[in-house]
This record gives sequence, structure tokens and C-alpha cells, in this order.
Amino acid sequence: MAIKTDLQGCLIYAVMLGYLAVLCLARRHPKQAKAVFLCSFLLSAVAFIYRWAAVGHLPMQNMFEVFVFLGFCIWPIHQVSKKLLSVDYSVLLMIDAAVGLIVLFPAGFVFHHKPQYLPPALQFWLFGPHVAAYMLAYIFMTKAAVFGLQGMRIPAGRPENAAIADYSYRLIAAGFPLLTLGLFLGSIWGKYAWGDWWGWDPKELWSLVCWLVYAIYLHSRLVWPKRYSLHHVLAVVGLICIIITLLWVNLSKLFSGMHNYAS
Amino acid sequence: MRIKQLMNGLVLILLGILAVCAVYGAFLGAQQAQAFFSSPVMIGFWCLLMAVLAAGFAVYSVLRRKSALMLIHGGCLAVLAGGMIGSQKAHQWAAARLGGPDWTKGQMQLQPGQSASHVKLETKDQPGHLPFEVRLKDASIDYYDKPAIGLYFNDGAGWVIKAEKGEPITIPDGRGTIEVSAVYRNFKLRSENGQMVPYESDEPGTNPAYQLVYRPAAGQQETFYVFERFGMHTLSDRTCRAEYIAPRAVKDYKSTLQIIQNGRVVKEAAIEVNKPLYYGGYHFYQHTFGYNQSEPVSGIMVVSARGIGFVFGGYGMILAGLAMHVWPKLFAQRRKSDSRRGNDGN
Repeated sequence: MAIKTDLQGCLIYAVMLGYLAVLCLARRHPKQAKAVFLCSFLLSAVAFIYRWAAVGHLPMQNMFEVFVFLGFCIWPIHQVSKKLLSVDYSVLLMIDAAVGLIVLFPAGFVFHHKPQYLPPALQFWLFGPHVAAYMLAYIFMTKAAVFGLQGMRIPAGRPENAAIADYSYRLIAAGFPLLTLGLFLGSIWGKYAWGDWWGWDPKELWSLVCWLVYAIYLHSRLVWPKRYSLHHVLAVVGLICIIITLLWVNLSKLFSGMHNYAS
Repeated sequence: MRIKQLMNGLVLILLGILAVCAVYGAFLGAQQAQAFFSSPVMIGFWCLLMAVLAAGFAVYSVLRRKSALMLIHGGCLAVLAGGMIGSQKAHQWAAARLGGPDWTKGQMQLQPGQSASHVKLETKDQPGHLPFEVRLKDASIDYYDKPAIGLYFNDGAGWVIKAEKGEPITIPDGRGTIEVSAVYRNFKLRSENGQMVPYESDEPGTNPAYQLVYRPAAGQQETFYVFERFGMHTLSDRTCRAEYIAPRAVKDYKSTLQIIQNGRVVKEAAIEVNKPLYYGGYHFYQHTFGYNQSEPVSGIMVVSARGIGFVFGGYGMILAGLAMHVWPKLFAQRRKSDSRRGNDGN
């Protein structure tokens, strides 16, 4: 764990402080929290653009850049979630600020941010859309899992369970096409770069696992519409698979593959 | 009703099995995972999955009525079908009955000017054959960084200068100047008036070298040479050593390929990473790059393009179906529930 003392690091810490302030203000002063949230987003945009200028290519190459991008996506997805969910606004603010804090922590304290040259395989127009689609989907799914976790704590049969399951579903339904898009764009890119649209690489297989878990979730809702506890569990399992896909596959030596340049 | 319940269960079980197999495959590594997912048991599984998907259209009328759902499930079928058509086993099956190649992927190593119509296969010892010849016209590497020359003095001081012809550069601490006065791509020596003189040779091959002129603050200037391929070079008084520093950060690998059919060039294209050439049902990829002596050796991967149309078509169908089915419904439902709440409030 290391503290970044340059401008890039300061920008990230400022955004994190903003999200922390949102978390503290959301319950009692939602209007102020909303304004701070917007300011944090603008700062995260500056952090992202600053990184872009520093490395000279779309900053989505390594873990540090991916987590900075995740921190940048929090506010736009918050806006979409507002339209999707009829949940109490301060609760939504708190969830989004907490997710923002969590995703920026690795960028601020864990991953190094030494600029790297973009290797030949990553110089392709699908690089940005592929990573962006996945990251947007991951945030939707993370928020769905937060509702899933909340739902798991509520005893079966309580009326809130149905509402929470519905929030979770709406977020998963919004994220699933993006998750699919990320998978397909990666596959098309694989065909251009490596000759295979599917290479059985560990990262690809874990991405498929994520997709299948959410496909099972969507089908199980049709088969057992009232089994909310199952829906909650699947939403949380989906997030666990996402964490494995995003972090474990790249950081562990257990899964060596063609996606290791993201480590 | 009973059939629907059975199908519901079967679909969930199959998706669950596939998820578990994918987790297992991730621990195996790509090569073994590919073998596992192509094993006879898994071929049976893929066939069952396709059969269940196809049967779904007969059992669930909603899959036929709603175009979005039809696209999603039809797209899944197309992707699976494309995967099967493009597989090694399907190629072997088709070659035995209909002719054509019985291989999906192979490699060829070519040096500039060389051509070949056979491909080294991963699956068997005998080479695969192409119905045309592939010739490598040219191959090169682009780098992010530039070549440089490192100067190291006996007292431990060191400087790096650009490996390109230029003006004299002042070396700090009153050490004089250094100048790259000439650059040779194919350095050779010949005798002129009893003296050995360097010159740029037109003969085949390369021997890149840099002529350096060192002018110390006191004393006589000295001319010496730094060669890209031949280690460290020292001044006659041994006070300074110089070394070529090759660029390392590769930006791109490039090869210009020509397709030759009946002795005639029918297609020529430059391929790079992410930019393959397509001809006659095959894709040609820039795969590896190396050097043999001084000549570049380009590794070209040749992949059969069979089935890819089904796969990408299937992707398009699934995405269109999902976008049509999920997003408009989500926002419409929210608007409906909001207006309901508004009415209740009134």
C-alpha cells in the first residue's frame, strides 16, 4: 500500500473525500450531498482526462487506470439508476458514494501508476468500448448485489423483500446487455488480434461464468418469480464472479493467460 | 405445462453445468481447457444445449411471438452453431466428406522474399496446404522509443545520446564533445591507399554501425565505431566505452504479404497486430517476429474463417434482442409505477 503524492494521486484522493462527504451528508442533507457528488464526478473526470494526457492513450490499460475509470463512471450510472429505481434518493446516494469509495481505493493506494506504452495488441478501436462496456456493467451489477445483500438480511415473506428484489433485478437487467456487449466486443477483438473469437483463456472463461450466472438469474426469475432469497443469492454470487474476473484472474499467478498485460 | 416445467429445470441445469465447467476450465489453462471443451462428452453437452435451445421455440410460444426473445435465443443458437462449424472436428468431418482443409489453424515462418503454400499445424506433424502461395514482401518493427548510444567513462560517469547523425554534443564536466558523424546500414571496410576505409555496402545483409568522433577538451580527436550487433566499443586510451542501446518498447509488428495464384500476385496487403489479411477463406495474422542472423523472420498465423459469420451474426442478434427486450421495458415500467404512485397520491 502506497500513497501517491503527485497531482494524479491528489485528484483521486479529492474524489474519494468527496464520496466520503456524500456518504456522511446523504441522510440529513441530500441536496448538499447531491452537489458534492456532482463536484466529485467533475474531479474524477479531471483525474481521468489528466491520466489520458499523461499516458497519451485511452487510460484503460492496467488495473490503476481501470479503477480510475470505474470511479469516473459512478455518477453517470447514478443518474441512470435514479431513472430506473423508485428507491429513497438518500439511500441511492449512499450506495453510490460507498461503491465509488471502494472502487477508488485500489487506484489510490494499491496499484502503481507508472505510465506504460500501449502494447500492439491493445492498439485497436475496440479497446475502449470493450473495457468501458464491462466496467459500466460491473457497476450496475455491484449495485444490484448491494440490494441483494440487503435482501438477504430481511426475513422471507416481508413485503420489502419484493421491492428490494425488484431494484436488484432492474439494475441487473440494465447491466446485462452491457455485460453481453463487453463479452462480444472482446470476442470480436480476439478474432482480429489473436485469430480466435474464443480462446478458452481464464479471463474469458470467468467472463463467461459471470454472464452465465446472470443468465441463470434472469431465467430463475421467470421460473420462480417469488423466490426472492434465491434471486438475492444469485445477485451476490454474480458480484463474487465479477471480483474474481476483474482482480483474481489478473493478479493471481494461478490463471496465466493472454489477458495478463492488464496486471 | 409439465413439458414447460421440465424445460425450465433443464435450461437452468444446463446453464449451471456450463458455469461449473467454465470455472473448471479456467483452472486448467487455455490449451487444456480447449481440449476439455472439445472432448466427446462436451461435444454431447453442446449438442444437448443446442437441442434444448431449438426445442424452446416449439415449447414456449413467447419465443416465437416476441421478436426480441426470438433474436436472443436464435442468436445463442447461431453462436453455438458457428463454434461447431469452425471447430477442428467439424473441419476433419467436412474434409473427409466434402474435401477442403482438415485443419483450422497453423503457422508459417517467412523471411522477406520467401514464399510458401504449406502451413505448420499444431494438431499434427504433416503440414497443411493452402490452394495458393503466400509471399513475404517485407517485414519491420515500429518502436515507441528510439535507438541510442550509451557512453561510459572510467570514473563512472555516463551519458546517453541519440543514435542518429547530428551536431557535436558537449559532454559535461569539461570532457569535450561527441558527434555521430555517419550512420551505416551495412558497414564494410575496404583498403584505400594502404588504409582501411569504411563504406556503405550494397551487398545483401545488414551490419548497422555508427561512426563517432570524440573530441576531448585536451588532446587529439578520435574516430571510432559502434556496431548494433557487436557489444561494447572502447577508445584507444580506454578512458571511454560506448554501446548501442536498442529500442525496446515495440509499437507494432508489420509484414507485407502477397498472395500468389497461378504465378500472379492476386492480392497484396500490409498486416499488423489487429489487422489481418483475408483471402480464400483464410485469415492471415501477424503472430510472431524474430531475427535470423540479420534478416527478419515473420511468423504468420493462418486461421480458417469457417463459421465466423454465424458467430458474429449471432452476437448481433443477441445484442439487438437484449436492447429491444430489456431497456425500453425497464424505463417504461418505472414511468408506469411513478404515474401509478402519482395517481395514488391524488
